[in-house]
Amino acid sequence: MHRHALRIVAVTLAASTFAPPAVGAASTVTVAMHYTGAQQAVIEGLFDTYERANPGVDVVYQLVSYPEYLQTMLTARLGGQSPDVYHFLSSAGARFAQSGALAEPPTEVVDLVRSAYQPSVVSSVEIDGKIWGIPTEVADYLLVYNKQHLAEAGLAPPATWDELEVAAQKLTRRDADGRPVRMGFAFGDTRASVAQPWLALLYSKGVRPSTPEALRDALTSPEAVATLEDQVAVARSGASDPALDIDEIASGRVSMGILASWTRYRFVDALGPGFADTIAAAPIPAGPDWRTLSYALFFAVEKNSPNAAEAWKLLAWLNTPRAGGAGSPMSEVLVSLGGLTGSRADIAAHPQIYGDPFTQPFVAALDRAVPALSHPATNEVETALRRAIENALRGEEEPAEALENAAAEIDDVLAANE
Amino acid sequence: MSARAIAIAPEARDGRTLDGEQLFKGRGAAPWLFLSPALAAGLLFYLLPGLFLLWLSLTNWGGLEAPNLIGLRNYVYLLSRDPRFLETLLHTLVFSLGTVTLTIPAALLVAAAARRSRLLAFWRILFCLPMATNVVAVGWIGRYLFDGTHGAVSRLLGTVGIVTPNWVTEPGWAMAAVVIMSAWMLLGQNMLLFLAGLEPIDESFDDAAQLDGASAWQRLWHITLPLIRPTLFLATVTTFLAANSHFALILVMTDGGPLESTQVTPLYMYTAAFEDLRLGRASAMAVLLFAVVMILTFVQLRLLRRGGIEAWGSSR
Repeated sequence: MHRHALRIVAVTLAASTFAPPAVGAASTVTVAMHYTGAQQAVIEGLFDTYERANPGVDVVYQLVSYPEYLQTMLTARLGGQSPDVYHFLSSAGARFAQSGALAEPPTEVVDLVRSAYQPSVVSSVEIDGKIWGIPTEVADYLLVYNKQHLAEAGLAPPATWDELEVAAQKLTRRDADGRPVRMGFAFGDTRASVAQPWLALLYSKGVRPSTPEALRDALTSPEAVATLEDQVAVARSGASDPALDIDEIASGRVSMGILASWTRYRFVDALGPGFADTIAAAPIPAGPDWRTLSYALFFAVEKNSPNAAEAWKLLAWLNTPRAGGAGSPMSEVLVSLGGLTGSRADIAAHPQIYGDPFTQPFVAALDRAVPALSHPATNEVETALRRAIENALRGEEEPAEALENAAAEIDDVLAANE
Repeated sequence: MSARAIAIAPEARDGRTLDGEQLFKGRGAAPWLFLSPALAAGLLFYLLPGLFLLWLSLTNWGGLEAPNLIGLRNYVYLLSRDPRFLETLLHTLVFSLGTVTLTIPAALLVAAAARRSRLLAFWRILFCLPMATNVVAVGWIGRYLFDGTHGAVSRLLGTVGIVTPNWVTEPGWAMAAVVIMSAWMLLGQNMLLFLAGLEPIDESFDDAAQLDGASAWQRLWHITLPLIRPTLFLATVTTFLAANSHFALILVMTDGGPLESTQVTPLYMYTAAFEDLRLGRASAMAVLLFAVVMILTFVQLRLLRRGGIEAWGSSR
């Protein structure tokens, strides 16, 4: 009796394991993203729409916190629990692509990316000349300033670094004890917000390294040293103080800073939807040939995903502009966040966001954007750069010396990468 | 259940069968039996991961591809080409020793004062509150307390005319701020240890010394401290080890800044492992940090292990 029961169980299991999938069998596509709150609700609504249009497909939203995204994906992959779709920065994508962890996109996806997105944004998802996914949220840097502070001081947004230095000093206020009350200019305090604005200023001087090796070599160039010397001059003039960081622009305690476009949502949180009456964006203050730096998050598909074909189909649907000029479904997520996109159709479809006085200059700046490095060692390279810039700003090292040390450090990083 | 009911009867060396009683009295299997849950847990959660870590430290593993053995290259890199690693070790020692130096005397003083208080239970709860508080919350409290402009510490000192810098953004002051918060977190735990250590000390020792004209300092130095030496050892070692693992506090308060002045080895290790995906190198850092902590713990063991009431009794 016992043996008979076991035989039935074994036969049933074998049949279920080896039987071909039935027509219309459920296929589950898991998408790991960091968006929470309103953005999560929008994207889950889009997934519901997709499921209704594609019976048998189940799309699961896996929420992963942004700072721990890489760590979580790494652990998931080790445990054989990777999602089907990743959504990460190009530097993380480069690491995954280099390790053979990403599936190559089908031709129609590559064609979609090449035809629908701004060239600088396409470059953000290219690793070693090959497109690995579909760009979503894009960010670039501009000079962000408090309109009221500048108006009170009778100043126009500075167009050159010299003008910025003068304006920053005029805008600075300290109390009787010398403590900063309001700083004319603030530098960033994270790897990206220190290194990337500096790179935007370097690009504006005509030096545009596209690989870590080229950047290492460029760090000892006169242009690189001059760029850092310009920043140090502002720091030493007393118009900037580490006690008041760049986030204080929203509180009115800092007048100017070079910020990424995604900070829009912080201004909305702090000042409400009418924040653009107070805060505005202007070109990088580096003269008429100014350039900026851009980077992008992108969707990519796990190489070992059993649902890779379905995942690409979902992503193509999510990012293809709809008929009637409605923009892509994904643009609804970015609009709810106030995030920038590199899709021309999506920009045209949402003038209320992409044409507003704060965001429009960031959209226009994409034409002048140089994409951030898409390399597995980008984090380490930018960390070395951040260290050099901060050491120089704090007077620990002279600019040339700090950049030489950074070049040596990047050399070590690249050697260890081989 | 009686001892005889335990159904283990290994053969003794002389050929006789051990009964339950012999099992407990002699060097039979009983100690191993009772230790086995702890040994199994130790093997599973400490020894095997430790050996795996040691092996990983000899590879260039990035987490996404198969690890390749590269010998001692990670160690050579850390000790000869990465000056920041040695700096982080120094910061870790400053942070840990600073925490020990601040929290041990403070906890002893609080325990000595609270010991005779009628409100002992209240003081116990009050000082132990940080133990029940999440380390991230403590970190944020620290950030607000030590903010240069709005922080309570700066404002309090400002009322008496002392202008302080922004503790969290000035390199020298940031380490002091994180040490103070770390010491505060560990104060309650050490106070409990010292209360337990002070409990068995007969007050007549103190009274007799007082009659002989010993000052409070002399009584503390020559009577109390020698008698609670084992507790002092336990508190010092556990505080030192706990401080070594307080990287979340630093992550929240300063993120290793400013100018990496609070970059401790566990934080550096975390960045190497999960931001730079250099898990092999991060494992080598963990091994080196483990070695340093072990050496320092043995030094503490040598310096503080003797003493206490038992030592006092045996020396007579």
